[in-house]
Amino acid sequence: MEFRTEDLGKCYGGKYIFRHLNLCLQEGGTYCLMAPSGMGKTTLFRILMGLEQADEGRLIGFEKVRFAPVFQEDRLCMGMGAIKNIRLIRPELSEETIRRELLQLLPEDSLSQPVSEFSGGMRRRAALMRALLSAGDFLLFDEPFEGLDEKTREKAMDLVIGKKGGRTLLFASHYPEEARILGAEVIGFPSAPSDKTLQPDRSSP
Amino acid sequence: MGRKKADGLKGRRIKKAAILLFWLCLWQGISLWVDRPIFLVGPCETLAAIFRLAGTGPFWHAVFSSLTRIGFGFALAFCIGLICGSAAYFRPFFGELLSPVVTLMKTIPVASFVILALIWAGADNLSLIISFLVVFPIIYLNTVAGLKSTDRQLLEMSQVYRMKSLARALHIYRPALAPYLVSACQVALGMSWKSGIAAEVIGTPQYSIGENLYMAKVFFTTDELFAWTAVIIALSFLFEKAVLILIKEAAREKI
Repeated sequence: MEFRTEDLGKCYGGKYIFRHLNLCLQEGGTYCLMAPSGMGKTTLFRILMGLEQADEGRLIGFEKVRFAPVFQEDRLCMGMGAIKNIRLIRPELSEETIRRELLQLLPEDSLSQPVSEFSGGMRRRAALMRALLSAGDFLLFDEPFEGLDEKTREKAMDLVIGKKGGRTLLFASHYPEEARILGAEVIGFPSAPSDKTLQPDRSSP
Repeated sequence: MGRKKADGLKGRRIKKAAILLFWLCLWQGISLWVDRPIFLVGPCETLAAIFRLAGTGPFWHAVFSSLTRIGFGFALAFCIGLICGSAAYFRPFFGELLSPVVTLMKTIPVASFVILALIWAGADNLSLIISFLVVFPIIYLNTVAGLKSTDRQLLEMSQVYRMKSLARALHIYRPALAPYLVSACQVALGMSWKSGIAAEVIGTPQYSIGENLYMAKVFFTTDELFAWTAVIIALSFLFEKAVLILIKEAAREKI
């Protein structure tokens, strides 16, 4: 099974932010979308998740996908703690299980705090854990390790590798290093407006 | 540090009490100077009148029936306002349909409502109806505004993660709604109480605070007028505190 985008294009105010985007992702694969900021990575992710409509082209194979996103803005419920935030989307997991998993990324005392008192990095880690523990089968991470210091970044990446399982992972990043550690195929992004067709870059490890 | 803070708090309290005492003394002084209890009674006479009234059955009967009617009207308006507001948010046509009615309710003078309600429903449940009519538009409009303020990003998140509707309602819509409902209640509580009593003065239903105020006017028992006014203020204050505690508790997110 594979997921494809066919000649996908999106414009805002008469200007294309990308056009003729052809992606081909294998189920269970790990892919890193690498492009400078403002090239429409977030928009592409929103289109994949069905939060926005493409202006051109179509999506193939995404209809039945259940996404597990990490959004750039974390999007946690601020009044609740990290455990409750995860239980919201995965009520069948016990509090104990979630606590055990979260302790790999967050300090013990933070689990009794509301997320509003978290630092940016802690929120990011909670959002990452939410995606990993969710029932989604397509992990879609928008710069998931942004704002983490070196040590937690490594821990977080290890965790992603460990928890990914057979799921597909597509993440956006600015750092080739992250793609290398996660063993991801690097996908470039067309600079708008362009007619270039893109394939996963096979030369990357 | 902590000690200093506590001292500061104590100091401020003493200052507040002194200010209050100053005005009470001034009031007492003026009432002694005027020396005509029909025009003005002092705080001591008012207090005496409160105690005199509080020893009688009809006093408690009036307090109880006014409080329950206004309170029930408020509760009813709160629930129906919340339901209609949510319906108007999720089904915009319903909102458009309701919009002229709500505008009318907001702009018609309370006095006209009172007369109409008297004609249609009689005096008995007058304050209930008036309290409802005053509170409903406030709760309704604030429910719509609160729901509109819901974080779009969280809604998208809940959609992609396929969150259950109940969880979405409780943890994404409710936190957005809460501050709007709290401020709506702060306004509505005082208004329901004031307009409810005003309606009772006009309609003079039996055993009501409004009837007692009216009687105080008829018999020139100014001390009782002052006493009832003090009672209304106290009841309104307690009512407001109690309702706000309930609402804030219902809105609080457990960590």
